[in-house]
Amino acid sequence: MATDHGFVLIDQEKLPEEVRCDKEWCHVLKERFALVPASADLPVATFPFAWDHAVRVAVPPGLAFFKAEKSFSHGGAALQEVIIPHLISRSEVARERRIGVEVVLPTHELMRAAVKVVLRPTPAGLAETGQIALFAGAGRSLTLDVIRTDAAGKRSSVLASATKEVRLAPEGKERAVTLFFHTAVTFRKGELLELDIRDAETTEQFPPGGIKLTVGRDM
Amino acid sequence: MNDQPLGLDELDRLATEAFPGLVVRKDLLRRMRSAFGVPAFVIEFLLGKYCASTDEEVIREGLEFVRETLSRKYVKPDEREAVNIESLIDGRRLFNVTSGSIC
Repeated sequence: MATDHGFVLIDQEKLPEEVRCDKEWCHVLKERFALVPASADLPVATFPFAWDHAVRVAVPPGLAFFKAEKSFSHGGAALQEVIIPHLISRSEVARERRIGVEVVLPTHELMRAAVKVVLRPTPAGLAETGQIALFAGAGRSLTLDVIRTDAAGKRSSVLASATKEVRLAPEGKERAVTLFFHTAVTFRKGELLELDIRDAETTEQFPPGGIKLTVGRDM
Repeated sequence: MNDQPLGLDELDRLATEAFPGLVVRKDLLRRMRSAFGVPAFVIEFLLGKYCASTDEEVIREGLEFVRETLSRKYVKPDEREAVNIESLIDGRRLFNVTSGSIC
């Protein structure tokens, strides 16, 4: 019987017959194994010995044994003891849980060359799981842009300055931002623009797909 | 100059409802002209784009943007030569909004 630390010799009447092994030509002869010359022709199974190819490890079949010495022989090995796990640990930056962002617009129809946007922080995880996370999520740096797509499909910003950046803190209040369009850009009534709000680091968009704005008059 | 905003009367309200985004408070033009000395049509163009509203907050934000735009982009007469030299070094030329000519 194999145990975690050796072999237990079971009752005499239940023991199979001893397998004879001549200890004269065995380098080592123990109850459940023997180190024998690699060239030896034995009627039992043998396995290579990793540290010395000149010898092989002979084992008796099934419950059999080479010699019966004592009822318990300490020093065996269980599978869990002889397999050495090889673990590779790699450091990876944990994905930070971030707050959600709700975007509110007073109107989607533009009557002046600007658009006012209200950004509200929402609890982390609410959008994905519908449940509020135990800990407050990290804040977000948001980039805001208004984009026009021409007939050829080319997208360009219409903002007067570079893309606007806003920091939204987890415990902070909502932020109202007005994006002014460039003075040299003209618009036709009915033209569609896209309000593009993204996390500056992850490029996650709020809301996904962006927001369509309609130009309400020629300007 | 009195900086108090004008109150809207019934006619003003009718006008803003009938022509949304096209009605601009006249007092804004006076305030900006006195501050910048820019031709009226330049200021009217900017006010029409950014301040055409009856909402005080919208007007305040729009005025701020117009002020910033004018102070950044409009060259006062006494600054003209200095800026011209600077822009020549940069390889750019000024455009005179009043006459439409290159300075």
